[in-house]
Amino acid sequence: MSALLELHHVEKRFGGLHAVKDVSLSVRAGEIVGLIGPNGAGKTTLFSCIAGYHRLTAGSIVFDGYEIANHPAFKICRAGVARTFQVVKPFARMTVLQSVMVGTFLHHRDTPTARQSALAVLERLHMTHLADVEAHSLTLVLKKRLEVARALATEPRLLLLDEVMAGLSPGEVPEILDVIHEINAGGVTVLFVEHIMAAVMTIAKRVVVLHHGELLADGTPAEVSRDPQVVSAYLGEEYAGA
Amino acid sequence: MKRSTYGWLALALLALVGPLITDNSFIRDMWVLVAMWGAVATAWNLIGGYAGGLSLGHAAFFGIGAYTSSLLYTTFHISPWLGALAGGVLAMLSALVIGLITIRLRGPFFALATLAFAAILGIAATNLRWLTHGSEGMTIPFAPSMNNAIFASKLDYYYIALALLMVFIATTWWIARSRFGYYLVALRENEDAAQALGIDGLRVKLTATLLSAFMTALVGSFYAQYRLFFDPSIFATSLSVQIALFPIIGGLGTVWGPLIGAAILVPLTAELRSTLGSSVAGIDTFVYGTVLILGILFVPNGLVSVLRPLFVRRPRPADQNVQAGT
Ligand SMILES: Nc1ncnc2c1ncn2[C@@H]1O[C@H](COP(=O)(O)OP(=O)(O)O)[C@@H](O)[C@H]1O
Ligand SMILES: [Mg+2]
Repeated sequence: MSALLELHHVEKRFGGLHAVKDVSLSVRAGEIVGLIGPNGAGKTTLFSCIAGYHRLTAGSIVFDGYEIANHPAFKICRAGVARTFQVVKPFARMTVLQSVMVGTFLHHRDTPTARQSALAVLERLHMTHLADVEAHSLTLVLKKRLEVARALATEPRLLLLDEVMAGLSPGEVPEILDVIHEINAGGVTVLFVEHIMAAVMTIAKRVVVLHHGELLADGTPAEVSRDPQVVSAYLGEEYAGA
Repeated sequence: MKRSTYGWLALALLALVGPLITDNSFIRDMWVLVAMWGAVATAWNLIGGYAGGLSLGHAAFFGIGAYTSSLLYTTFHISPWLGALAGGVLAMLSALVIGLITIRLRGPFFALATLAFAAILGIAATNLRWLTHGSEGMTIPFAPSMNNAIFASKLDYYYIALALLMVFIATTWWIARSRFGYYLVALRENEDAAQALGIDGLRVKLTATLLSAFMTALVGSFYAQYRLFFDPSIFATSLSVQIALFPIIGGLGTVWGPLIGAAILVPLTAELRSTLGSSVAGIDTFVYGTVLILGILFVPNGLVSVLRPLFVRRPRPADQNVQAGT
């Protein structure tokens, strides 16, 4: 299968801080890839580089055959890459439905169609009952879900999810896992950052590990969790045998 | 009939026949001014309310409209109807230039940049005496005719202002329900998140600014034809602030808020000036300022939020809202 997203030697420095170091990575169409690493490893920075929110210090990013590095964020979205924000950015005084319509308007110019399409997105995320709630009054967990809904609304081919399960109780995790699984099954390639290891191991067919901005490992969940470097850097003793 | 239908009918009737009730010149002047400032405030609201770009320079577009149509008329005898369109186009061009420079600026910096822009035009209008007659001001000879857009009766002016106002409100209503309106609000609420959904923030905000500038300039030309005199103080910061205050008091980012703000504040200013103005110097401004502060403190979402229940059956979850219906 051909690569949908290719990173070639991507570098990002903030002044003296080297947040992303020489990361090369390829994601094939239809894959669902987990991106893990300790806090400060550069995961969010890497997402922001892909989505056009940071200028690269060096390197190139190719999406579907086209160079997208350093393109404006809105163009990268139009090309088919949607992201969520780890630190949520809701449209505070819009309702949930209106927020999602802002996304569906990308491919549906007229309001009734955009609304229909947004309602369908809300249904996929089990948020229909929240349609008329204002975004600012949602709990953090639901604001994160709204991030997913908005991103999905742009009908992306690649979805970048940044810790959308953070704050969920263990009982709530399976539902969102199902949602992500369905999104992927619907043909959307997914690259996701998550700290809940059990979740990563469940849905990712492939896991990439970032540590101090560097790519440390890349393989199946089983391979990665056996990798001694990964174990010492991040997973800790309790995951060594997972 | 539903309560809301009665409300709308009463409002339409009031707008159409209200000014006929009395031929008192002061009161008819109020009707014209409320419609006129309501129209300017509605134009400002597109960028200031929906897109969240607090412009304190709208007097610039207003003045460009007034000067363009008046100069074309007094110098070349071009009908002010056409002159107004020319003023609108010129205001759009200046908004394009100033917008490209300032729209990336956030919050107070955008406000200050727009304020400076109007101030520069004020200085230019004062100093380019050969063109604008400087601080002597522009006088348009009273020669009533349709072609000259000069009328003997205030009623004619009123219905023209009302037509402008209605077209602007209809435009706003339509925008608030369209993709463009959703995009403006999204950019106001969170620009980064809006860009992530494929919105070209610069282009969308620039478009709103151009439209707002065009509309504001049309009313500027109207003002010149109505007063038949104005001077460089038309570019004053106080005028820009006044334009912004109508929607702030009436309801930012709502369809009817700007008009409601004008309907309250315009008569209030005039009344205060005529009753208090001569007693203690500045007392009218003091009372006016106090009313504004109380309004902002106690009705932060604008008067539209208080009046909405009279016109809308189902209460909306929010007062500031893309679909603000009242
Ligand atoms: N905008 C920024 N300016 C300066 N430093 C930043 C910025 N964003 C992230 N960093 C730094 O880059 C490093 C990686 O951060 P981040 O990508 O958020 O890590 P992660 O998402 O893996 O927890 C951290 O040391 C962080 O402090
Ligand atoms: Mg992060």
